[in-house]
Amino acid sequence: MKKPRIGVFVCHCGLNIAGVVDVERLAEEAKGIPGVVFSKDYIYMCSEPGQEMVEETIKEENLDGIVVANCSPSLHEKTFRNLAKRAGLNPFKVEVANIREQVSWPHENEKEQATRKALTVVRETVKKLAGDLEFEPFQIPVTHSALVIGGGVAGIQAALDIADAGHDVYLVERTPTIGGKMLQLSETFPTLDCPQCIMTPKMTEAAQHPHIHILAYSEVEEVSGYIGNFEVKVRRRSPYIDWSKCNGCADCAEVCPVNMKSEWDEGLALRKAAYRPFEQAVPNKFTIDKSAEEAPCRAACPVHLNAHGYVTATSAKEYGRALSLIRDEAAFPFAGVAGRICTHPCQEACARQEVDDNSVAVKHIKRWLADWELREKGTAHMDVETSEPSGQRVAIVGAGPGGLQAAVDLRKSGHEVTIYDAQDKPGGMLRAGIPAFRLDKDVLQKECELVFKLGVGYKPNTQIGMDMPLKKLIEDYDAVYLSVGAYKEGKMGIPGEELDGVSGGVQFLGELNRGKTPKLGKRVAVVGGGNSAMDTARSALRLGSEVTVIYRRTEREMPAIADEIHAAKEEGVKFMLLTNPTKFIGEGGKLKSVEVIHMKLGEPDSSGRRRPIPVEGSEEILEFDNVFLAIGEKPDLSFITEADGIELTPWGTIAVDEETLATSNPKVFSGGDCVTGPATFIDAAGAGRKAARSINLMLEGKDFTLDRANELSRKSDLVGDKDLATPASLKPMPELEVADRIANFNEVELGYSEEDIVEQASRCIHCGGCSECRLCEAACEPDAIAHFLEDWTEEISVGAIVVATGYELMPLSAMPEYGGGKFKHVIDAMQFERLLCASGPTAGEVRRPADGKVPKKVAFVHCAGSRDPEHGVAYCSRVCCMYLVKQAMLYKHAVHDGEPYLFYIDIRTNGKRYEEFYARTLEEDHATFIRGKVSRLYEHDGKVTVYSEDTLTGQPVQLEADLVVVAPAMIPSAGATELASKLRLATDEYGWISEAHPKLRAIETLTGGVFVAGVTQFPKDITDAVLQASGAAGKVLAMFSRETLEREPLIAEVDQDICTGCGVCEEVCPYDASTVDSVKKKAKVNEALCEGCGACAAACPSQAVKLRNATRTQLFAMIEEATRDY
Amino acid sequence: MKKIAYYPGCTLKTTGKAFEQSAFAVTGALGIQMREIERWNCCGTVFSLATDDTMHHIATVRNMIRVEEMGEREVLTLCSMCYNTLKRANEFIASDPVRLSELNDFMYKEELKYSGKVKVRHLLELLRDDVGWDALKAKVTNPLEGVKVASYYGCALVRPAGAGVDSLEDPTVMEDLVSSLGAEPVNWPSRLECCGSYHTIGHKELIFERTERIVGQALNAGADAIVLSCPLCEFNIGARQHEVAEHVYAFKQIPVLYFTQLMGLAMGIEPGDLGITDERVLAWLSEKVET
Repeated sequence: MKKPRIGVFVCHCGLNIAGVVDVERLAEEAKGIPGVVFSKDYIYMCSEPGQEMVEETIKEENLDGIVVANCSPSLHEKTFRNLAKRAGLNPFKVEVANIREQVSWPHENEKEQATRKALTVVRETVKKLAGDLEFEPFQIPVTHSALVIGGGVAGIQAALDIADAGHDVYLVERTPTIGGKMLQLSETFPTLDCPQCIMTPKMTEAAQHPHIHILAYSEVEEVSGYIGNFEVKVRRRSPYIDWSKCNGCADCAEVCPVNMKSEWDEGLALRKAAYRPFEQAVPNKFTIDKSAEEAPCRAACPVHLNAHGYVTATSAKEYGRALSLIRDEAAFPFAGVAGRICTHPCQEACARQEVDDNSVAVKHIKRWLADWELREKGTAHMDVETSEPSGQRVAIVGAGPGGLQAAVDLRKSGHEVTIYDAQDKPGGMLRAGIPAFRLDKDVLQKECELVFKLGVGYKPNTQIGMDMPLKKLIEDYDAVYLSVGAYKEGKMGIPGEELDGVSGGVQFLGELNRGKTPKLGKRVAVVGGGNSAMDTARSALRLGSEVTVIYRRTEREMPAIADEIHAAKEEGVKFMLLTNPTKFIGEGGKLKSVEVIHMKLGEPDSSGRRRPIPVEGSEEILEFDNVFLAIGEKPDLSFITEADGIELTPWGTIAVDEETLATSNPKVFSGGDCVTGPATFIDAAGAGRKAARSINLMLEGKDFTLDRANELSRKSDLVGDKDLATPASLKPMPELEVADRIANFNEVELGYSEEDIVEQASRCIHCGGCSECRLCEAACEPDAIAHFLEDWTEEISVGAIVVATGYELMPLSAMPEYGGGKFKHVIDAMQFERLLCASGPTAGEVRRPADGKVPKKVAFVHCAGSRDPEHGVAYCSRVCCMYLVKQAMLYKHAVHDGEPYLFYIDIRTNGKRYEEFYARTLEEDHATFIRGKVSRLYEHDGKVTVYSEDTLTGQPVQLEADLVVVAPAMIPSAGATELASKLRLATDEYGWISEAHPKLRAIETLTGGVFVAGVTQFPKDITDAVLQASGAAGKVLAMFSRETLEREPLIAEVDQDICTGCGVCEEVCPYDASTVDSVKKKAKVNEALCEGCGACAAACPSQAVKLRNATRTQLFAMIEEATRDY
Repeated sequence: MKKIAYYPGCTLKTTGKAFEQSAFAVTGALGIQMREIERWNCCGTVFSLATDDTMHHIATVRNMIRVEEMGEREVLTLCSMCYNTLKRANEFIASDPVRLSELNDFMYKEELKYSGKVKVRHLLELLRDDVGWDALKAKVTNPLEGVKVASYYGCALVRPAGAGVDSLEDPTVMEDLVSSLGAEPVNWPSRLECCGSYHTIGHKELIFERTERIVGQALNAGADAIVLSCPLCEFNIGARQHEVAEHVYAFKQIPVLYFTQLMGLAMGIEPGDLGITDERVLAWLSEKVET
């Protein structure tokens, strides 16, 4: 074997190394290392004379390897490898011994030890070199198109520069327009150029450039591949408007009733849910802002009505549209019924309650819409398109709300539907159990008829079980839905219940509703605390009796809705609480009196309500002529026989699967009160809708059990923006005077006026953004609105990527000492930019956002969060000094008698003409600069007290300001870290993208082919951002100037004989370069993807993977050498 | 009845007796039994900031041993200063097993080695987190309607970050308490400022200046009274007010109460049982708060 001929070159690095390490001695002693045939030191080895010397020596001494003892290999390894190539030496026979970062710098005060350590480092590097093999770089092709992520000024600049050279550029921007933050600024320092004037032309140029493809409202979802050959998936967010048709006319925004905060105006102005960020937006297209989740009201509805939508349409006085959303689109006939008696889960969920304790009056709005239609059009309408006849037949038992809703939905799907009902008129419990003073029977009748108009068969007076056996229905039809309700009255099980004068409340209500007038005595008792009890009591009262409600717990535990209890009290119903009957006492078979016992409350029971406990010896006898029991009803299921194969529960209800409402008979479904026991109207309708879905899926031959949970009613986490609340409060519903109520059965609630209902609808704070009222559809001439357009993915192939995702400001909420965003007269600097800007919300007049007053004293707070590790930001944000100086100047120009006060720590004006600009603000505009950090702000009486100090005089300072402008720290854009990980880029502890070298490679990242431009690398001003962007474009173009690229050959290799295919390397590889062939069960390294990090080599349990020129043998030899003396 | 170990500290047995008396009265009414730990010693008064100064935390650790001897895992404090010192010293020691064992070795005569697991809590935390404002509201028989109260946090209750009972810069616990009692919390600027602390010994004039400023701002904000949780603050901006009046022309005074005293008044407890004896305060009470 040939003897190695190794040269050692020791660099002084000026005094960086030579100041500590005795370089001459090192060079001398290196000559004694086995294999070393030459050694020399020089002051700057990386300089031209230094390099020439090395090059010459390689040739003259016929060296077959060199060790350069200098700085970190990340700095100059490449330099010396290039040099070796020129000298005819294989570049991979060059090794760097780092004696600067690892020796001279950390051992500044230990010169002797440092020199010894340096020698050890050189010795071990020589050992490594001895094991190095010669390699040749391999070539990979380059795709000549680029991706630029971020459409701010840096992204646009990079895109233009690359495209101008004739290459395709995909410019991906997250918001609906390119332009970025710069466009929001009023004017730019130090030239006072207006960004609209210098930026919009650039945007237009980008839009019109044949080589630039703007992908606005899009995000990079996935990046695979490697330098020169990236495959990128871009998620195109649906703007819900077909941009190929949108002509930017703004008709949609004009009709859109939903107000939201404008991002462009930093929340100081409103925009519509259908919007364009600003007039000069590029692309000039509109976007509809929808939340991924539905508004809480809409999500909560058991029949899934779009409450948000019809409330919104009502606020725009588009009543027909509003009603159409309920009837035609949601196929829900009962607008008028629900508007009267629904227990409105939508309102329970409404976020408006957080603003002023009352939800939006969704129920009343719905009633008003139904009444409006009857008033304006004479009758109710429901325009539901039915599908082609399916040839399938469904029978429904029970014409209550559940049966009718199921009928509508099944008919809509094209099935033939027949409803069987025991009563002579439809409506079920709505008709029988709810008195006319709560629900106008005419409204009910009209809305029931809407169902039959769809072609639903209706067989009244047909009691299944008596007139026709259930078995026959099951045989004759393809599916059966049982929604027979719960009519069987509960008994108390105490003596005397059989007496004349003791009867059920529901039975009484039923008789009344059938037009009979039962004769009652003077004194009537109603036992129970639910809605039926209240209805019974209020009905009995109207027949002229004195009515007492007897309930065993307190009012707090009553299941009846609060409004009903309140109305009953108002009308004169007496309440005897914590009392329960124990015996009905009769005379001659007729009720005479009732023995009751008084109760107290104990611990909560299974329902969570406190259990009533009888108080011993508190019995009492009370005189009553009639007693109505309204203590809960049960379904009468005597029509179901064992042969029907329908299982019942131990509680005497029908057993069903909760999510599908399937019974144990595969053809039969059931829901509503006969399944749950007495519940609400809307629950029954919801069950009908749910069952209809199951039946329809079954009839279509699909599996109806999949993904059914929460399909109709669910919880939404949206909370809305309370700032968007109108001041209107909830007005009470106009009602009949008590005196006008108690003698008749007229409806008590009269309904709102049009003016009031619009005001009520306007109280909505639009938690879900767009309400899908779809008024825009009708307004859009080119028919571009596409409410059901979904996000899509676009795949592009590029050779290089420029990341320019920019920054955002630290939110004021992170700074409680400055009010945490709660102070009205404290704003952030970007908001002040908008106030100064001609295109801003005040058209450039400086007015306080909260009250429109012109502020005469404005305090500017520098370094809010920046240079402040307590806030997590130790760095200087670099632009705040200059823009605050500019803002002070512009404020002075706008408000001549205004007084700007700038509280600063240091004024940093490190740019061309920046210091002069600062001096001008100081000298010509007389801004007051106070050197001191603001410690606290205190808002009171329309002013803000600024507490600070003047460190130049050592005095505390206190200033009463009209407005405070805070310059928050710049922090990376939301999602920047996620993007970085998709691109396999490193970020620093703050989230800024790490450059390859802070000085010499500040545009490159550590991932080949990915470059960084603008603030996403670190805060910088526009000038620097544009410079870096052009630099990045230059780097990209340099790549694109070649057809192929060289790749480092120092990558991992797999010894196929040893590899067991365990896959550990695949798991640890951060670049997805290592994969196990599923057939051969052997690992393979993708040469183009491998970055040579060595993670796989370290992890491989069988040592099959080795990293070229960093093999185990080499590393152990180095360790041995390093530890030789110990 | 909930039981909790209670560490009084020296001031609560001397100048701050009213704080202790009123705290016993209100916690009793809320069903909390404060059990004073036996043989307690000074908290150490000021948390030592030197990172290698283990010795100066011995006072705290000894108190923690007393708590563990009672079989308790929590100790309640009233005085803000004691809370601050005990909490920080306890965490400083407990977070480092080496320091902890050093101190335990040093105190080899103690029967028990300190485990490092005792939690130091302030009564305000207990009221907010364990009792809850709704439960407190339910105990209010005499809502202090129309009474405007300035909450004074001082420095030790909320600083430094991590050791305080609430947000460092924008705490709300005392304002929430005041609202729960039916009174109206006022917005005022000095609630987080320092009262001058121990300068009260050597530089009284500095305390006068602080008190004038703090009291003045409370009055400017329309407050009828100041509530606080630190006996030293009370001494400086409460007890010293009549001295300030001698030095400062037209100085207006304001009643200063411990938060427990305000609670007691709202819960219908007699002023005498809350240690309210100051005639000025009593006169104010008869005018503002009907008990």
